[in-house]
Amino acid sequence: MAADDNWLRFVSIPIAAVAVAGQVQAAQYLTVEQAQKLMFGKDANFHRSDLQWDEQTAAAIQQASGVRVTRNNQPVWKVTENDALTGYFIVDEVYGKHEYITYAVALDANGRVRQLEVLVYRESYGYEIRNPAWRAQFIGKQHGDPVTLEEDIKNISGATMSCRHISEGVKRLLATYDNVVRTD
Amino acid sequence: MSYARISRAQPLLGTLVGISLAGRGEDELHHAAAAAFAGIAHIHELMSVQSATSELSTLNNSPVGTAVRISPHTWRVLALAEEISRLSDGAFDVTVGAAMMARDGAAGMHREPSERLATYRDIELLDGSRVRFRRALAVDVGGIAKGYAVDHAVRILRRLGVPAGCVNAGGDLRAFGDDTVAVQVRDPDDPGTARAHVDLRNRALATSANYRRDNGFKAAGLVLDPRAGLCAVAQGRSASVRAKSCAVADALAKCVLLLGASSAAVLRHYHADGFLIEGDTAFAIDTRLPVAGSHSAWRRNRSAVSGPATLAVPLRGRRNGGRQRAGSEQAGLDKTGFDKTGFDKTGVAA
Repeated sequence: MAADDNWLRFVSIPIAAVAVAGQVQAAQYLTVEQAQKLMFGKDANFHRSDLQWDEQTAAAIQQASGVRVTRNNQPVWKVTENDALTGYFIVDEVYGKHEYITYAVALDANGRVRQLEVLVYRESYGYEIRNPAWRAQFIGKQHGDPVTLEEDIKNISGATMSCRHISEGVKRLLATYDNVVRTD
Repeated sequence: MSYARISRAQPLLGTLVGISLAGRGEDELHHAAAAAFAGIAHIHELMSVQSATSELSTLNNSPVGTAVRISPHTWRVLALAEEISRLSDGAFDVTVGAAMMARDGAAGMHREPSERLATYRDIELLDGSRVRFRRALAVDVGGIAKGYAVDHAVRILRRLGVPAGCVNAGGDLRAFGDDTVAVQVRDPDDPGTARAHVDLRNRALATSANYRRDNGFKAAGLVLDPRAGLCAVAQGRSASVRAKSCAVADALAKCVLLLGASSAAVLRHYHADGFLIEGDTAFAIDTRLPVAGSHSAWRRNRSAVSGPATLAVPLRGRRNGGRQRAGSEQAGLDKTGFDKTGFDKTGVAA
């Protein structure tokens, strides 16, 4: 053992339990506003529009991305600087069996991914992730107000989260851009 | 002077990579984090086996016997891998997974080997950042490159003057500077439960396991037993290693997973510490004592690997919240010495 003999404790406790039911581990990285500034700079202007589409368009997005489309709307921020279009800012969420991730994507003016940042990561071993009501409590906040969670970033070592759902989400957003956003 | 803390996360290396930094000025920290993420992405591009155009894929497709010039990063990873392979008597071997897959496919992993596969000894590291394969083989650095990418990110952050922080690539992480970073280690059977608490300061920690598939998380990669040609590691066992560098911690975690208590020598070489969690037992590898038999004894007696329980203290009743010390019932435990192994800390409530 190294000199600092107190580095390791064997325990048996729920991972970062913060919820009454189930076990929720949450990490907040950036708020929507922070992500906007980080991705486009302090001088950028953001114009939000709530895009909506019909079933036919949803099917087209699904067809183009190979990813299931469960929604018919998406808030997208058009980003300008000195009245010139510099890109688009989109906040999206994806969830798996145990994890739920809110992330932001910056597209350039031609619709290419410029940057991706995870805003909030949650994992749960209760029923919460599959529960629309539980997820809904975050959704309203994400698309406008900063999300605020009190938890600190927790470090967990062990089974790792696969980022497959984020990759799928980005494919879906790019197909959404092609079908709904792009103007040329 | 203002003091700032930032946390960022991006999907990289097939997992979520988080970077937490502390220092003066939020803008500088964000700038440094962006450079660190870019550095990690660069390592991934070089060494991914999924990408057909990565440097490693190109190397794997190069003709046998030809010296190939590679980036210093990939060369360094291969050199460290070779050293750990040697010190662990082949328990860690970057050539084995791909070779077995090529020969048998995933279904063949439970077969006994009928021919000698390529091993790490068939990789020649030459000067001038060159490498030569002595026979047909494919390298998969999945067991070490993630840790190396974390080290590379820390190097970039320090060079940019960030005083303290932590880079966490899906649970393989490294803390630097004056911050003490608390880490919880998952129960390999139950990812919602922490089985160990580690305080990291200027150290890296990596965990390897063959997790059960149904928990919604990615298996950290099938861990193969290089010498038996088998998928030898039972599900539900995890090994964690604390070391100075994350690349070393990453690779040594595989050694601990396969060698159990016999990994003490290689841990000691790197001034590293390790522990195993399996079922109701959790135990630290005692690196101060000579182990009964060298790790080559493993070759003669497979039970030494499959049965680390002979050295373990059962955490009885832990599912009920009880954490009694129950070492004395365990036959053979007295040889290791209860008080010398750090097991006494199991009695401390969180």
